[in-house]
Amino acid sequence: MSRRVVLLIPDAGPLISLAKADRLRLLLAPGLPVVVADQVLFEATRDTRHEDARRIAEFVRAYPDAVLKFRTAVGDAAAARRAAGETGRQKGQGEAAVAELLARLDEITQAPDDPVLLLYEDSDVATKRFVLPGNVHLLSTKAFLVGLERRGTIASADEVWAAIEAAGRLPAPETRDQPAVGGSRW
Amino acid sequence: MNELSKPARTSTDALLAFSRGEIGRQRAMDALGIGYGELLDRLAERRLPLPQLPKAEVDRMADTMLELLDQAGR
Repeated sequence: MSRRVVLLIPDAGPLISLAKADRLRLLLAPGLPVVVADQVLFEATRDTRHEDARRIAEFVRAYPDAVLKFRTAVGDAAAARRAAGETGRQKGQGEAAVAELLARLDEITQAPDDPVLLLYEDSDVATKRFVLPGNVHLLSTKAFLVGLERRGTIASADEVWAAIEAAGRLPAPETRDQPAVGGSRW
Repeated sequence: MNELSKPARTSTDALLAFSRGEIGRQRAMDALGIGYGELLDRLAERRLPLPQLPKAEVDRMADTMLELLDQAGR
């Protein structure tokens, strides 16, 4: 009998890096439900001046059945404070939402021991300390890409990784092929 | 050392330290006063690599992912 596995994205990091390379749809390739905490999603999409934030918002809108926003008390409280006039970055709220989400895993999985893949950036896996239930497995963004490469979903994990690293060097699409203000000397 | 050069040096240090895996993402973001998207942009501008886990650890995680996908019939 097959088991239900969930891909849980507890942090905006992997969303932002994959959005940079315009490869967010890779998250859907394994065919698993993708769960994101509400506060994390808010933080990843709130500044629409950034193309990656717009891409993440569009991705979530485009796949409502596959990408599930998990409502947390932390997210509700942060939203209430914003409604009351709080502005700026709500530091620590994403992390608090993750803690709540991990404490409520039974609401995400169908059975108590159903496996959960917890996707974090490699830099976070290397520097954070994790105390996780036995059914929760850490997965770094690079390891996710390597897994997809081994399944034949992508040709090369290194190529996608290189695209993430290079994305900031490219002009944003809206600024590409635009004549320079005042002309250009080359 | 010129005092005026210190802020720039600090920014470079935070970027380098993050790229080398010496400090975490949040600490680098706090040091630079920017979000993660901008941190990636600055790394890219300076041609600095994203920190990666050791290959053995990446491979072990990928193995687990594939094993779980098999169990899930995916």
